[in-house]
Amino acid sequence: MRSFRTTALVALLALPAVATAQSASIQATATVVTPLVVTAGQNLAFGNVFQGVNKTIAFGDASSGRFSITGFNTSQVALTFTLPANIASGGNTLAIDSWDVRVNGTNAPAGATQLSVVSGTPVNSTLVAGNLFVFMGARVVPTGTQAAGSYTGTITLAAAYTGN
Amino acid sequence: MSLTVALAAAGHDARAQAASVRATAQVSIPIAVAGLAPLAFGQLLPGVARTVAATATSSGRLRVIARGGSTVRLTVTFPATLARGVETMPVDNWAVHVNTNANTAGSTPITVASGVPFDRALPASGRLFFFVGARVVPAPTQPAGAYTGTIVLAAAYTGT
Repeated sequence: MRSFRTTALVALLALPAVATAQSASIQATATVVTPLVVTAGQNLAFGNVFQGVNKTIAFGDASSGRFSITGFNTSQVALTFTLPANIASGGNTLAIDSWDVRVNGTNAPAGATQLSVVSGTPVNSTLVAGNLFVFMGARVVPTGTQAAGSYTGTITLAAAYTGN
Repeated sequence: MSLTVALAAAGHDARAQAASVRATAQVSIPIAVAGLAPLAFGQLLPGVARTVAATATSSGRLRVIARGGSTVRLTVTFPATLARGVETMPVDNWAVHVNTNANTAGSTPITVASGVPFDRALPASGRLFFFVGARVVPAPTQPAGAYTGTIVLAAAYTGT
């Protein structure tokens, strides 16, 4: 019997692997609420001042300095006051001190809460229904030889949310 | 009368011997990727950054389902900002945890770079859950409104 070889052919068809990526997505969401707005209300006006006679304007006086702040709900805010040590008329300066700063949720000095304010140092307070009103008094100390003239200075209020 | 036609290659006799083998393949189940929950930062105060941890209840959630025991190549793409029209707000400090179930308890933090693939072996169940946290940084003058961004997870079999 003639020997035979059996050749078996086995064909393996290898298809290249194709890794098709599947994907999905989600959203990242955030809602930014009302930004703070600080508004200058009125100047702190001492009016006529006499040499050597100190004059104080109380926080509740009609001519006290005023600011208003609006923002979100009952958020806590950090208030930073920059208070001048003097008001000036050209090269002449007039000392100003004894600051009395108070805040209220309504635009009325009655019932306002006093803040312990150091110039340049933040102090916290809380908005009331998105509002806060600031009332400022102080004292000027003219010397006995204070030069006559119109003296001015700048009071600055900055406000920022604390996140609380 | 019969005709016998023998077709033979060299070395073969008229009676062909044959054997057979089977070609077999198991097609894996297709990978399924699903977004389960958004990453929700909620209400933000301008100027006050907020972080949502990967394990927080409002962290983002995604799920991969594939053949148990297989290895998949994953790519996560994070947005650099959330947007509201032309207004944008930076988002950073991305944190990702992974677990074999839908609970954050017992989840494992993993290091993920946006757009950079990494391989992960699936458990026998074939399911992996991803939990995503981050930090958003609104500016003090950030305009109010709703901001959004998109997080994408892509997955593919590696063949191992």
